[in-house]
Amino acid sequence: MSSSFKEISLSFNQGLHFFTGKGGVGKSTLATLSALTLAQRKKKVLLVELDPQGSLSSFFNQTLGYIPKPLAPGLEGILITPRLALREYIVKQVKFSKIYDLIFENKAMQFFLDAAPGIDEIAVIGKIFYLEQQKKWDTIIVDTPASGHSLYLFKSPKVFLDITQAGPIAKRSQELYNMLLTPKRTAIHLVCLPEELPVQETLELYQEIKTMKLPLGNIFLNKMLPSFQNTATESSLDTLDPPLKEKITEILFKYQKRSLIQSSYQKILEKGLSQKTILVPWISDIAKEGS
Amino acid sequence: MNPPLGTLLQTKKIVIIVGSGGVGKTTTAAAIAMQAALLGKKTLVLTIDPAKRLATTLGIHRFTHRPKKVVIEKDIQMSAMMLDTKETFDDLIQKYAPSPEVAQKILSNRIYQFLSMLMAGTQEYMALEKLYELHESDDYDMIVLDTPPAKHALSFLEAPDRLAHFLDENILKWFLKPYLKAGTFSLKMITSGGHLVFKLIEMLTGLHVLYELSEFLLNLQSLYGGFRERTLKAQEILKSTQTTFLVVTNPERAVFEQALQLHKRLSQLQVSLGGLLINRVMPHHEWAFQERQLIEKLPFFSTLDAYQKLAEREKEQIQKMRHSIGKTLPLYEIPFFEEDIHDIKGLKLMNHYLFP
Repeated sequence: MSSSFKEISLSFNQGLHFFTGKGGVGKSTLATLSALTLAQRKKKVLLVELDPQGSLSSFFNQTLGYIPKPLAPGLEGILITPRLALREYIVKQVKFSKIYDLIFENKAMQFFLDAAPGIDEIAVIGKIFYLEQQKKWDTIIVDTPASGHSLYLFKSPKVFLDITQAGPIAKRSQELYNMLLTPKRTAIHLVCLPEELPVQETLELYQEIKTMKLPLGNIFLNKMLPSFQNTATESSLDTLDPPLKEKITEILFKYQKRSLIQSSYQKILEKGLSQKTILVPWISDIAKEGS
Repeated sequence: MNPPLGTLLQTKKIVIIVGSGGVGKTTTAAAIAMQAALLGKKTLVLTIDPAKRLATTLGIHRFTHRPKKVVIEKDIQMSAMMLDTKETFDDLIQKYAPSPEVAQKILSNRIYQFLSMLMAGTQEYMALEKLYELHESDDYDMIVLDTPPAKHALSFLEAPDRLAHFLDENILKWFLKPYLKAGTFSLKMITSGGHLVFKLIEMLTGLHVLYELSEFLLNLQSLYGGFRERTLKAQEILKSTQTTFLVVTNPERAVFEQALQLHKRLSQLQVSLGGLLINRVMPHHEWAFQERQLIEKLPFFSTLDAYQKLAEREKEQIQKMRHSIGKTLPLYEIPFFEEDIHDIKGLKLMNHYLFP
């Protein structure tokens, strides 16, 4: 594991750290590694999973639920599902859980909530706000859904603020919006792969985050293949028999080409971001080595 | 043993490419469409969010949503288009609204605007809608559908259902009950009607949101019939014998697990499964003992060895996968190419492995 990823994790300030990026780039793995690294240094960490089918449960061999539960020394985990988050909010508002059940346990209402835009997202951000306000943890690390959906998550407070303008939801939306905009409370980390589409999507996400004025954290470039640097030269192969030399040359060519392509995507990304990325080496099942 | 992909292209009319985000669905869709075109079929590939260079090859970009002709080789063409979720949704509203006025009312409603842009599942629903529309038009012998990028590959199967439920008549009736009785819409009636949901929404958001929501639901009610019927028909396409699904994955464990879930789900739904495609497989090499002894002395051995270990782990994963999906489903391994596929030549290279 790269020491720099570890160092960066240890430098995380208190507050919320969102890991976001295109699907399949390794957000969950890096979020988990950061959380474990911090917990090993005696920090109190909460790892937040938003996906009921997410990988955290199988990684820690624990079923996560709506109540934080210990996963490792110093580390707790929670699964926030929108429906439970919404229930918690409404019950706090109307004071009687019976009213909630009367309205929301209705099948039609369930279908409505399944489809209604933004409600799930704002309920989830609201729950993250409650957790932040409890001040029980030094750092809260959130493994967010794929970038499109995580943008809805970040946008939802503003959308609700614009739609409602007044009333309790507007007030709460303003609080959530403030939380997300404050660099001391929130950092949004981008995870990317050195490939065409993820780089394209990361650059778009970066622009959106800038436009929304959200506090940007680090940009991790994951799954970097090892570089041959200058060790794989013609002369280094001279000791081999021609057939073996040919076989190795062919294999080396393929691997080196792949590694060079990665470097070129790294350059494109860094140019578009006007900032350096944190490189994370490609180790399959990297998470295993973090535990 | 199920028939290979080459045979399926002769017998099917729709190929749906499913899988987690970032596994190469769009490229696969383009490659398969190209093969169908080469077989002489009038083919369309409907993509969702192609990478720029591939999109350029296909002659499509973000602001054109009509089918474009792509020349594959002399006298052989296929069509490519990109899904526009919002436009498809707007078209659908216009098609089923009882009058242009009602359509306009819905299209300009703010709740609708948020819904059509932001709602989870809209993209999936509209991909299915577009597929249905293209299928009905009978303009093509073969349609290859790329599905929206989602962390969970199951979204494509589940999302349209969610939206269909939302549009379900009974649900709208339940919401609208307080004032449907009176026959006409009036804000006063809602607020005095004592409907708990509306009371709650009003309490939390204020009156004007309630007004827009009510107006939206009421107008939507008027075009419900066509909507529901259409959704059901569109969903029938998925189970049709003319349709086949292809699951795409890469060899990483977490992605593999999702592909397995997807495979299981598709089997339960009893849809036709065309095969499982594993993209980006790291080339794997076996070394003789003596070869290894010689290589170990080389200065770059540790780096080479790191690549070899990656390749070995992938190989194990693929064997496990083969074991859990059973022997009957064709499994295609596509190697990690030296370059990303972005042109016709690259697509042809990929097809060497898909249509051996």
